[in-house]
Amino acid sequence: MNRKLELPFYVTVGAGMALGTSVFTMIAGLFELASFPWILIGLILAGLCCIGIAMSVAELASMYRSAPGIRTYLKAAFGNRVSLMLVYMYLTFVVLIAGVESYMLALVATAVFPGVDPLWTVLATMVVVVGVNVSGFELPRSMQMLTTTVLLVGILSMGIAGVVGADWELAQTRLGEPATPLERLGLLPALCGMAIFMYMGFEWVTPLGLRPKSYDREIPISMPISIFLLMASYTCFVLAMGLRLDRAAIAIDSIPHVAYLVDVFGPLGVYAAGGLSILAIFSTFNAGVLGGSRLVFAISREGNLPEFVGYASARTSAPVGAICTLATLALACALAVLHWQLELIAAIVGASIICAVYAAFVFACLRLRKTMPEKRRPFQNRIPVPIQWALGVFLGMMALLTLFGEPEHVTPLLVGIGATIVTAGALTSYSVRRTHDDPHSLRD
Amino acid sequence: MTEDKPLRDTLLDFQARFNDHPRVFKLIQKWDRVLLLHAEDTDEYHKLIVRDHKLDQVTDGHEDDENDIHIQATKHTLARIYSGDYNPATALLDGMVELYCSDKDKVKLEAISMVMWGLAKK
Repeated sequence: MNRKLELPFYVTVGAGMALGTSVFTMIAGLFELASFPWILIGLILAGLCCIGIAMSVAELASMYRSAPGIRTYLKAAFGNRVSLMLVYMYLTFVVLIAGVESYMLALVATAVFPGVDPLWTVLATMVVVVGVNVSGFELPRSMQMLTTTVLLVGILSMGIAGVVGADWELAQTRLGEPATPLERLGLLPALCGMAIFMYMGFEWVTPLGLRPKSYDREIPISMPISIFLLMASYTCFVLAMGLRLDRAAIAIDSIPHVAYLVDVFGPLGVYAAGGLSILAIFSTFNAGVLGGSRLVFAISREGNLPEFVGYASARTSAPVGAICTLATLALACALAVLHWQLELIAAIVGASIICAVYAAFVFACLRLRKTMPEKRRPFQNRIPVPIQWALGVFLGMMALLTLFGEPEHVTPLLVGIGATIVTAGALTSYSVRRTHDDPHSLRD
Repeated sequence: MTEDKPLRDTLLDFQARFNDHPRVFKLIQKWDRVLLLHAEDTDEYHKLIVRDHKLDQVTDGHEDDENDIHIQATKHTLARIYSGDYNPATALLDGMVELYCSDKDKVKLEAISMVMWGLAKK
């Protein structure tokens, strides 16, 4: 790849992973929780937190270049068990998002083509994704860059179009809604925790460095650039949505971007929403869910999971076992979401998991400075150490408070996170036992 | 054992083993690649050329050599990986080796090591 295109490639990978259709579901969740200006404050604060996290991740990436981030950084900082536990929680998050994404696409498909049964769209999405990946098809880097750029420009311009064409008299009444108790400052961490979900995945770029020197500059700066671009696009889109639609209408809609785009562009807006959703799921699946299968493959090859999960096709080099395992779990999740309408619950559980994992990244960076001060760090996080500690604690708080942000959902959210922790714990015990018992496991 | 042996000798042993392996032959159909190995502590470069279904050449390399796959680690780690003492998947996850190539090539390398060393251990 041309060196000049390296940075744009990294930026689009980071932004592409974050830009899924489930982002719009989370926007509905934010409107359910609060109104202006708190939604925008939460979005911007979450973006700033992510920039702080990105600096820690960049330092870790410069220490362990090309390594599959989460497993390596957390293993070095906290040991095998904690690392495995967080990796399995992270993979649960990937499964949840894959399930939610395919369900969201199904809802949008039904909005565009009213006769289409969402179940068939979910099944077709999974079949296409698995088929394409098992066949070993690898999307050109240029395509990743193009789709994410179109998506970012699309969201930004649709947001601007909405703001420019808004009825300001009506908008003022909407902006002046009386504050609800949830809008008080004390609930900002929950709002921020949910908004962090909309940036998650920017760190997925770290194993993709094209050369060693990329970890000195390009990869570290690509992450804050991705986050900044996302922040600008989201802020504009959310502002426009709030100006044009009633808060209550946004809050109860899992795909509020469809109603918004119909309001802006008329009946054609539904097609714009369809295009946006297809591009979004395309970039997320391409940049993220497939990356998840590589991570599953890698930890399986370490001896942590059954052998069939680590099966790779000799002909196509596709990690078939990992792809099929993840796709099966994602399909089960999508069917559960479809049947019980759990999209917001799944997304909020995902947000809680990602806040916990991000807190672990921040603490890992701090811990490794103490335990491995001599290790080479071509990139150093310049944020003052007390602020990094505060960020880690704040993220931990957000992981917890996100679950209590919406009182009517607390029970299913606690059940969801509880099930995630129990599953991750059981898998960790299984992996530890397996790597101790397996005589064929090639251990260090 | 790998401490004193020149890395080039380890790679030549690996070449013999690689080319003798019937399942590796199947794995590298239509997979012609140039691998550049960099032992960062001794700053030595070695080039492995996979061509026509075999590991055709193991030669001295140079930093600027064109390559499809760039592998970087200490000499000791590389020697352990290429003699089958260290699972490359674990080495990558431990942050002991750096690998720069496409995702497809990463999986292909994994599959080759699994066939060669996994079966050997059994």
